Amino acid sequence: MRRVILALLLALACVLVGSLTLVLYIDAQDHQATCNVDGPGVRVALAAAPEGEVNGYSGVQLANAAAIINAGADLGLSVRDQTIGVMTAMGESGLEVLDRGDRAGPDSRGLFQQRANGAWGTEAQRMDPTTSATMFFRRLATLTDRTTQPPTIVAHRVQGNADPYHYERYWRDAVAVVTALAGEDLEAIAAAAGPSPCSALSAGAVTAQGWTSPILGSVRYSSAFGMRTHPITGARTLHAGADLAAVDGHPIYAAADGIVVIAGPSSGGNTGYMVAIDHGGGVQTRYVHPWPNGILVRVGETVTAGQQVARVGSSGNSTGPHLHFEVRVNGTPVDPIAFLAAQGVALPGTRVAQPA
Amino acid sequence: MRAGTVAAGLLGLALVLGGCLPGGPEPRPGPVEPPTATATATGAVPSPSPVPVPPPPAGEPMDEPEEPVTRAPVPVWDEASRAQARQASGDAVRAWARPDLPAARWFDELSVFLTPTARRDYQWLQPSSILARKVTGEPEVVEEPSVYLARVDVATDAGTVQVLLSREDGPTAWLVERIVPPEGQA
Repeated sequence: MRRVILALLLALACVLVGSLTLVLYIDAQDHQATCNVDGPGVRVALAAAPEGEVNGYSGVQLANAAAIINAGADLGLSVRDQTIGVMTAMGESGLEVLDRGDRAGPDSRGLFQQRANGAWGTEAQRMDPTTSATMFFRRLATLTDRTTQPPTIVAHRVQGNADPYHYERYWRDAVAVVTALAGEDLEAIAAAAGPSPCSALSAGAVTAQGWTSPILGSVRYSSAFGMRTHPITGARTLHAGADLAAVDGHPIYAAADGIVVIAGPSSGGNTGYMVAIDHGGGVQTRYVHPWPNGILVRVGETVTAGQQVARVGSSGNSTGPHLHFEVRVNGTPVDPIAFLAAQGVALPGTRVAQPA
Repeated sequence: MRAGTVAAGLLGLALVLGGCLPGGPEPRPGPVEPPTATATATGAVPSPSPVPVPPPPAGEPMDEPEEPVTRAPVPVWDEASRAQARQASGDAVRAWARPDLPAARWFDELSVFLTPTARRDYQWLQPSSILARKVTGEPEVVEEPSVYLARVDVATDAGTVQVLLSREDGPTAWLVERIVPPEGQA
């Protein structure tokens, strides 16, 4: 009997701990949502020419954005899909129903610059905001893997245009227009999201040397830099960075000013997906194992110390969500904890390793 | 139905994370990628320097062994690497500026010049949307923002195409990260 009660208590404790973990897990998901619009579709009030201006868009442009948003709502699409529609029309027509094409497509018409090739209906349909948006969204809805791809790639796959990254620069404005038309508090969202919708700034201090911690908050230091024996193969290999376990989606920041030189599939000894930043003077930092959609920068982008560049994931050879943080000096990995310590920065949960 | 499955999944995950179900946090003996021999092998790879082993940190190791770090030298900007950047950009734009090719063949022949990221993102491109058909001038390195990156302008019959190149380290070749068509042709 006592044993049964004990088992029940144990089960209860497990459920409690489980619920707590569940709450933490949902919190992490919510954090991602604020930085990358997500959730069910929204429907907005249609006006001929809404008052005011959002990021330079006004009047009939906002009315056209509203028509796009509602065309997406009619098809039951998510707010991310709707925002992709607004972003695409910004990149094609500046949210105006253009009665002309361009050099690449003289026959292109309307908000989405759809061609007269039979795939996009009649000219009257291409010139109608709601009908053209509906044709765009019907094509978009066939891309079943679109939630895992960046908005610009989703738009590019529908439009078949010449530059896959063309729409990226309109994403932030599209998020602003959709949130404004949906009646959300734009200022609060902008403040929470930092310089771009998906790129927040670290709350950590930047030292006089210009460095900051690549990760903050609830982080567990799970594996150190150095030679280690693999638990299964027994082989001794160099673990070239420090592992910091955190929940999936936890923000990762640039450790110093620099320029992004890798942002995608790993190379040069790492696995999965990664970001690498060149800080000049032969110093490079690497942020390994985000999921592909957790990479928030592109190669060639300049970043500042503390700017969010990625989200924690578990891609590649990884047994759970964590950041593998690596510092290479003249091509050779060095102990990142000692390196950062010399710059006045402590990684959370670590102390400077003393030579054995 | 789907929402129910997701909720059950979340609860299951919570229980696993809470340590209540077996099989959760055990190390996964997943397939370890064999180290791929890359072009970066520089012959005499220096043996690992005597790295002091720090005291074991709390918790379990999170990485499985990775490919050996190349330890290849950091690239430098010199006349040879500028010439290689011009060559790589010209070759890539010549492969890119072929709007009449079937999409699959166009991508196959372009992809040898692309970085892994570009290879992923250029596979959907419809070559018929490209206006340029010919490289009309000598490519010009216009910016060297990092030893790993080059911006190269390539003149075509439809205007100037901007190419962003990247390289992994000193011994590896330049690859194309992005090809930006002239203004208004994207």
